[in-house]
Order: sequence, then structure tokens, then C-alpha cells
Amino acid sequence: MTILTVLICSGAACLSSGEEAVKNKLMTLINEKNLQDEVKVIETGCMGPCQYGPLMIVYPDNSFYISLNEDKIEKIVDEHFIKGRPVKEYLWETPETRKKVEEKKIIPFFEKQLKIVLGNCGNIDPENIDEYIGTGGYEALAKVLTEMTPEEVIDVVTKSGLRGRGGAGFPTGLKWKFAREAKGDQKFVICNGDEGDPGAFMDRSVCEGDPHTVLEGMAIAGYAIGANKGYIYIRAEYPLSVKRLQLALKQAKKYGLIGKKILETDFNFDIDIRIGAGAFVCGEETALIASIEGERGQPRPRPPFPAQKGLWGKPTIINNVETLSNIRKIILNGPEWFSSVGTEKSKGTKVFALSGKVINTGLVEVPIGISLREIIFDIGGGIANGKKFKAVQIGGPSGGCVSEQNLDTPVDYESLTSLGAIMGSGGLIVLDEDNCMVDIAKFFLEFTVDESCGQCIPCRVGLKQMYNILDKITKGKGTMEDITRLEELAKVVKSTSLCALGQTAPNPVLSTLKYFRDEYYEHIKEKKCRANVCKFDEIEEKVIK
Amino acid sequence: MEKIKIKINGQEVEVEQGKTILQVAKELNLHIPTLCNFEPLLPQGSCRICLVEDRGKFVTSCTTQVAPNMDVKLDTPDVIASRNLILQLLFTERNHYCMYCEASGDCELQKLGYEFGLDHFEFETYERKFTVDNSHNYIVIDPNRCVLCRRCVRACSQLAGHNVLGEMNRGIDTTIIADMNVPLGESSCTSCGLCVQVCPTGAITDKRSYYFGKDIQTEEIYSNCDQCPVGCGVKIYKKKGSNFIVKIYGDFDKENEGILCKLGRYAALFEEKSRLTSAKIKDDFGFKKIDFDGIIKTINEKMEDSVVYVDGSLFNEELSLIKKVFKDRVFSLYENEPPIESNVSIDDIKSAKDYIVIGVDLNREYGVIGSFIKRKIFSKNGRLILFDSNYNSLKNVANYVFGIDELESGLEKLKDLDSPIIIYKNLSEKETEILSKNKNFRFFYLPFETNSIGLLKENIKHKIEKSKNIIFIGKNLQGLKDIAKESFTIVFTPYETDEINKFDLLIPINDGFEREGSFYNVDGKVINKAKVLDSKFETFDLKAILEELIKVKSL
Ligand SMILES: Cc1cc2nc3c(=O)[nH]c(=O)nc-3n(C[C@H](O)[C@H](O)[C@H](O)COP(=O)(O)O)c2cc1C
Ligand code: SF4
Ligand code: SF4
Ligand code: SF4
Ligand code: FES
Repeated sequence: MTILTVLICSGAACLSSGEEAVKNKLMTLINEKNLQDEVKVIETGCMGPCQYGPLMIVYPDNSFYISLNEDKIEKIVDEHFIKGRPVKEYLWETPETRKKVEEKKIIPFFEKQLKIVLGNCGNIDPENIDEYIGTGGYEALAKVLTEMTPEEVIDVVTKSGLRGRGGAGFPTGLKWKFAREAKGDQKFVICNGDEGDPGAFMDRSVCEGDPHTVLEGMAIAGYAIGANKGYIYIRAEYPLSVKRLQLALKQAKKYGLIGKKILETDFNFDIDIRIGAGAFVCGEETALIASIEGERGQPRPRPPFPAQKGLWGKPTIINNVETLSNIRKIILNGPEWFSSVGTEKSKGTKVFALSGKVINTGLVEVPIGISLREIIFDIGGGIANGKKFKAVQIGGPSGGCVSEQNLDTPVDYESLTSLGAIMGSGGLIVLDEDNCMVDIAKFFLEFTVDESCGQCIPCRVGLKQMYNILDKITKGKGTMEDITRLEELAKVVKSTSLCALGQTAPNPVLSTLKYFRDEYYEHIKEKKCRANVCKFDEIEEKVIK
Repeated sequence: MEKIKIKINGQEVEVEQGKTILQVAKELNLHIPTLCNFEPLLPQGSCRICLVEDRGKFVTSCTTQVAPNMDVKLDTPDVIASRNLILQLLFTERNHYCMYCEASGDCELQKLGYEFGLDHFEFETYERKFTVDNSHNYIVIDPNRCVLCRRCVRACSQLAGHNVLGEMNRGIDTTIIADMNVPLGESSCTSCGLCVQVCPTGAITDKRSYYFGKDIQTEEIYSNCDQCPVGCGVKIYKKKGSNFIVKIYGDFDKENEGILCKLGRYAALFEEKSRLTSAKIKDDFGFKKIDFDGIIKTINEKMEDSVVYVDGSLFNEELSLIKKVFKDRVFSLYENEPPIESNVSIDDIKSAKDYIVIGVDLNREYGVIGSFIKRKIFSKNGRLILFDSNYNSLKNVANYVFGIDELESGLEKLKDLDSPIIIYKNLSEKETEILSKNKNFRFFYLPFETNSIGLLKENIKHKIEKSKNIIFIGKNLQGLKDIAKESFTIVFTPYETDEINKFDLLIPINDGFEREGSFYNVDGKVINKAKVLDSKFETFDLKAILEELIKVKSL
């Protein structure tokens, strides 16, 4: 009889912090001490607070062990597993009270989160389809195939208010409707798992921790628009995601949940996995389509939109991993349930990769409409090392920096855009007083300069010229005209670039100019960097004298 | 096409649905500057110069189709300022110091610079040096002048079907490369030269035309290539007031869609064989010069006891005069009848799905036909089945390759062919028999010589007959020496070759661009070739001699 269930996180972050050794040690000890019948060990996907990995949860008492190593495991096995006394000093500790928390549920990091997409991540064995089915998996697919027409499915998704989580926030139901109405003998569903933003790993966590939810979402999408073929585009740098998705696909096919005549109905839906070479721009939908077609991965002009003319010229919907992972719960719980969470125009939850100068970093899923302050100070536990908060950069490399005065803004698509940032794919980097905002702008611009596909002039050359100006300013060689020029360039790059990479790339510059203009002026006029990041060359005149 | 109403610059106009804003503006005589757009190529929308405003949003006019309710403004201050800045950026990206560039004067970027009144560099110009690729016989690629419009890449794949050019790297490091980044001269380039023609700047240029003159110093002469029976349309740039050609471009309005092959674009300009420079006659002491009257007199004397051999290099006008003078004693020196007659045209080639090529390397001969087929193969809209020996370079492109002797067994294996077009030059009797059996096959015959079909129209067939005197008129003397041993042989030809001295009377005739006339192309259409140059030698116009003979005879 199993007495204890141990969930050990095998998300990529924990793997890289030594999960493998910890798990091996655990298995050896269990064998040595003959605990096989009492302790069941499950390797799960990402649990969230990655910086504390390797992580482990012990049920039924819900003890959350962090920062594990082989010695700690030995002690936990002896004390907790054999004698029934959780090892307090290895449990999560709250920063405010410095108290060890004995139950995962009441850890503040988890308290304010709402897990729809990540519900299964960290709680089931992602390599076992039965566990997924045990949580209601594939019930939604069965429901749509047997009880709903494609139009009804689209209607439910539309009513739920779900918007694309890949960045642009386009209403998912509407996208499906366009594709359903587009004429074509063949249609496609593409799942965008490219996730090229540096530091982002929400999609990876879903693919690793709950791969079936992605497959189920795709199949439902296929049924809704009338497609019988889907592609998952995923980057080669995510080998574990690829492995888990492949395994999930194999299992789902074996169970008749993907493939021909799904659940004995007339619906056929097959899925192929395509591995991308990892250019950031390949995550842009038209570039991704070009890449699947075997062409150079660079964006194409829209219109025509993929829903009209996508993969091989056929109507295609392309949705983000996270978007698709919401689908099954919307079908099962109804659109009202989903739209009860969120703000007027943005519903549901959003997964963020919280990083930077906060105490708790990692993956968080929050209801849309939560304030930035809550994310940073409640979930994130505030700024590390007693430093002062300066800004939070949201939305990946093309996102913007938001300052203290706007921290109470509810996080949704519109309000972030109005602040000069974007929801993007959900990067959230907290900056403190040691960060120079000009340097930060330059840092992000360097990324987009490198990742510009090089097709259109404003993005290819304009960003480079903007970078050159920032470089000048951070070296103390800027002039006041440079600011005007930066703004002029930013405006043109934003309004004239072909794809959203160029259209959003100036955001870090524009938002820092908006909220931290003083710092630019200090660099130019006083040759001063208040964060002491920029090193200015000796004033040349002195040398000449 | 359905008409819709939109507003352009405030004015309501009726336009055809399916057209782009750029296209309808052009029809209304409204100018929108462009750079990456090039009409026969699919629009790419990458330079952003052509942007216009539609209800407060910028759209690129070359990619955006007109739609109901559009309210397009072509030159708002915002539009102009943005185009201006984009252009400024482009000028600073690479080396656009015009005075050192071969394209200066003909460059589209330079023209835009003038149009927008750019007179200084607004931004730092950065010095990045890319290596110039000078490895090719005819073409130079200088990435330092490249604006990355990818017209060359699109032309090479979408039109010419060679798929040689592509891009490497990203962002400002992007460069145009051949194959997997090998020097162009070592790549799979077939020297069709279309990239040179479409490149708007001095990034891809034609070595042969360097320093010969700008477009403005030339006159453009529309004509057709007579290097093979495809008869592609060409635009010849002749230097004004001089007797030389600067360059040859393909004519986009003709059947060849602007595409040429190496023969039409380059070989025609590089005279490699030496010319026969004056007429001469053999006597006991060797050759001595002979004048027009001497020629007429000699031929007139020998005519009664002679046969005439011709080849397919002669034009219809020349052939008909020959027939008039020599009646039924005119034969083709070479086999000129098709093993199986064509029953399809170039247009059918462009739209077919399956192609069976037997024994011709379409990268080396009939190159433009090769382009039409290859572009379908690369875009996965067609399949190519090749029957030939191993050296046929099409084998790298073909979907199925069989040996030349595997025709029967090969066709056995391919059961799902969709009315394939068989493309061939010569066929053995056995091959003819095998192919004729298939009811759904279509046939496209490639004649050996430019005007092989013209010979047949004049009822001139291949036949060898002995005679006291032999007259040969044409370029290909190969078959002549065996039959001419015992005869007095008169040769009308443009070239000086080793074997030519065996013959008795040599008459140099005009060649290439010195000659005008018409011929029948692969489709059986009459194609005209213009006279562009004057001969630099004491050569004769064949027609003048023939006409004189008619006159003399009827006297
Ligand atoms: C430069 C660039 C990179 C992008 N990368 C991604 C990505 O990695 N993953 C993603 O889902 N969407 C990405 N997108 C957005 C996609 O183009 C597309 O909008 C999205 O996949 C649509 O799915 P959704 O409607 O579910 O959000 C990117 C867009 C741009 C411009
Ligand atoms: S905006 Fe940048 S990434 Fe997008 S097409 Fe243009 S050059 Fe490429
Ligand atoms: S080489 Fe010429 S045609 Fe090709 S991309 Fe560069 S500028 Fe355009
Ligand atoms: S295909 Fe024939 S006609 Fe056309 S350019 Fe080549 S040689 Fe001339
Ligand atoms: S001409 Fe339209 S974008 Fe270049």
C-alpha cells in the first residue's frame, strides 16, 4: 500500500540544478530501505519556483522541499519517510517571516496564483497518459466530437474571451472563425512552441509538464476549423519538450485519441512535430510557416493572413502553446467560468517567467488583471538584497519598462500597451537601483538587432542606427540631438517595419525615454550613470593637454 | 474581375479587385516610389519604400490588394518623411558612394536618392567590408552595394528556375550567396544572367559591359535570339553612334518572360570563333582574293552541274531565295525531320505537371525551356523524369533519373503520370515506337538548329547526292568534307575553320547581329531578328548575292 507520494520536479531548470543525482539517490535509498511499497515517486514537469530547485513535494502532508541535494535526501528519507517527521529546515521559508512553511498551499508564491494552464504541471507524471486522463484529460475532446458542432466549439471559445498568449492577444475564437470560413480543401493547425524570448520558459514548461493538454487543444482546434493535420513547431534547444511531446503523441495515437477515426467518430487528426533551428524571428507566424515549408524562416507580408493563406497556401491557424492549453478547460467548464477571471477585455490567466532582482523567481500563473505590484511584491517576495525597486520590463525583448508609479496598473493587454510595454509572451524582469536604464534599453536592442531577419530596411538598419546612438550615450559621447534622432527613428521603425519584431523592437527605448528620461540626460550632460553601470572614457581634452 | 470603389488621394475611383494599390496607382498615372518590387516577381514588401497611408495606417502598396472602403493617401507628410528616413538608412548601410560604382546612372537606389533630394548622409555610415565575388566568367557580385531587395534571389528561383541564389545570415550581416555559400563561379549557376538584369543597384553586374556605357548612352533594340529555335525575345543595348553592343537583356513581354540562357545573353556577345574576313578562290598557287563580280561569275558558271547543301542557321528569306535560284537541287546537310512531331507549345510546357526529358541537357541547350521546367520542379508543382547518360546536369534536379537505354522499363515504373510532355531532340526507332504507343503522352520536339523547321517549310530535306559542283551555305561544315572530296566546292560561311582550306571558293557572309531575317521557332511561329551591327570585315550579305544571281540568270 502506498503511503507517501513524492513528486519530484524534472523541469529543465531543476534538471540543470542536479535533479538527476537527487532522484537517483532517492531511488537507491528507497530500494535499500525497502520502501518500494510505501513510497511512490513521480517525476513531474516544472513546479514554478525554479530558483530553489531541485524541488520535491511529499503528499499527503504537502511538504514542499527546496534546494535539495543528496545529503538532504538521505536525511528526508530517514526522518520523514521512515519516522514520519518532515525535515523542517529543508522546507520553503517565507522571506517576510523567515518561517518555514509546512504546506505548499499556503506558500505566498503559490497563494496568489491561479493555475488553469499549469494546473497539471508539477502534479502529474507527464510521461504517463493515464495520469492525464485521470485528471479529466481528453474529456473535452470527447465532448466536442460527440456533442458539439464545430460552430458551437468556436462559439464557446469566442464567448470565453480567450486571446492569443503568443504576444499579440488576438481573439482566439475569431481567428478560428476566419479559418473555418476560409475556403480550402485542406486546412492546418500549427502550435507555436518556438518560444524564442530569452529567459522565457512557459511554453517549455507546459510541453514538458503536461504535453497532452497541448495535443488535446490542437485536436479540438482541428475539429473546429475543419483541419485534419497539425504541426507542433518547437525549438531544438528544448530536447525534453520534444521527447515528452513525442512520447505523448505516441501514447495518444495508441489510445485512438490522435490519428484516424478519433474516438470512433469520423474525425481524423494527425500531428507532426517540426524542430526549429532557433532563430527568434521564426516564432513570428509567417516566418514559422515559411520555415515549416522548408524556406528561409523570414516573415511574409500580411495580408494575406494565415487563416486565409497559410501553410502551403492553405487556411491555417497558428496558436501559441499556452493558448491551446486553455482550450480543454474552457470546453469542460464553460465559457462563463473562464471569463469570470480577468478584466473586461482580457480573460483568464497568464503565465509569466518572473526573473531579475526579486526574491522568488520562476514560473507563475496569475489571473489577468492582477497588479504588477502583487506579482512583484507578493508572489515575487519583493526586491532581493534590500535594494530599491526601479522598473519592471515586461513582454520580452520588445517589451517596455514600467516604473514605480504604474505598478498598480492591472496587467492586461490594453493597459500594458498604453504604458508602452506589451504582454508579449510573458517575460517579466524586475530591475533595481543597480540597473542603468539606458544600458537596459541598449541590452534589449542588441538582441533585436541580432535577431532581425534582415529583410526590411527600417528594422535591419534603423535598429542598428538606434543601437549605435545608445552605444554613444552609454559611453558619454551622446548629444541632445541624439535623443530627437532616437525618437524619430523609433517612430519610423515602429510604423513601417514588415513584422511585429521591428514594429515592437523600439519599445524598450521608447519606454525608458518616457519614464527614465532623466537618466538619458545625465549620461549626455553630466557624463554620469547613477547606477554606475556605464563607464565613461576619460574626457579627451584632458589627455590632449 | 469585379470592380470596387476606393478613394485615392481623396478622389473616388473604380478599381479592379485583386490588384494591388501600386498597380491601380500606376494605371491612374500616379507615382509611388518602389525598390524591392519588380513586376513579374511575386511582391515581397521588404524595402517599405512604397508605403502609403490607408485610414491612418501605413501599408506597402506593392503587397496590399485594394479592398472596399479603402481611403488611400499616397503622399501625406508622414508618408514622405518615413520614406525619406528609410532611404537615408539604406544609403548609410553599405557602400553607396555612387561615383565609384558601375551602376551609377542606371541605379534605382540612386534615382530614389535624387527623387527625395538626399544630399548628405543623415546617419553614421558604417564601414563594413564584404568580399567581392569575382569568380564567375560573366557576373560580379559585390555585397557592399547590395540593398537586400532579393530581386535576384526571387528571379533566380521564381522565374529562371535555377535556384542558385539565396541568403545567408541575419540582420545587417545578411548577404546574398550562391548555393551553400560557394563562389558563384563554382556554383550551380547556369549563367542565365537574369540576376544582373533585375538587380536595381551595382551589387550584381555584368563584367562584359563594364565601362561600355550607361543606359542613357545606348539605344534599345527589341529583337530575338537566334542561338536556338526557342527564339527568346531580347532587348539589345547598342551604344549610340557606335558599332557595338553594351549588353543584352531578356524581354519581359515576350514568351520567354525576360529569361535568357547563357547563349542568348553572353555567348552571343563573345565572338570566340575567328571570322572568315574576305572572299577567296583557290587556284594552282593557293588562295587569292575575289570580288563580288568574280563570285557571281564563278557561281553562274558552276550552277548547272551543282547541288546545294544548307543547314538550319539560314533565315526564311535566305532559304526562299536559295530555292528560287537552285530549285529542287537544295538539300539539308543534316537530318532535320522530327522523329515525332510536336503537338504542344511553350505555353503547354509552362502549365504541365509531368515532364519526361530524353537525352538533352536543358541547362546547356534550349536553356529557357529548362527554366520553365525547373521552376515547376523547385516549387513542387511538377515532376521531372530524366532519361539520359550520367553527365546530364538535370539529374541533380530530376525526381527520377534513368539511363538512356532504360526507357521501356522506366516508363513501366511510372504509372501515375499526368499527361506528361516528352521533350527530346533525337530518338532511336525503338524509342519512337515505345513512346508512340502511349496515348496520353504529349510531345515537344526540340529541333537541332535554329531554323530546322524553316527548312521543312521550304521542303528542304536531308539527302546526300554526288555532283560535280557542291555549294554549301551555312555555319556547320562538319558533314561537308566527306562528300565534297571530288567536287568543286563553294562555301558560304561566316567562320574560318581548319578544314575550310580544303574547299575551292570561300565566301564570308554576315553573321550574328549583322544579319536580319526571320525563322520558325519551336512553336512554329515566325520570329524576327533585327540587324544591329555592321560587319567589321569584307563580308557579304547572302541575300544580295542570291538576288544578283537571279538577276543574272533571268537576263
Ligand atoms: C519576432 C516574433 C517572435 C514571436 N515568437 C513567438 C513565439 O515564440 N511563440 C508564440 O507563440 N508566438 C510568437 N510570436 C507571435 C506569433 O506571430 C503569433 O502571433 C502567435 O503564435 C499566434 O498565436 P496566439 O494567437 O495563440 O497568440 C512572435 C511574434 C514575433 C513578431
Ligand atoms: S521587421 Fe525585422 S524581423 Fe520583421 S521582417 Fe522586417 S527585418 Fe525581418
Ligand atoms: S544583389 Fe542586387 S538584386 Fe540581389 S538583393 Fe542585392 S541589390 Fe537586390
Ligand atoms: S533558350 Fe535559345 S533562344 Fe532562348 S536565350 Fe537561350 S539560346 Fe537564345
Ligand atoms: S516596393 Fe513595396 S516594399 Fe519594396
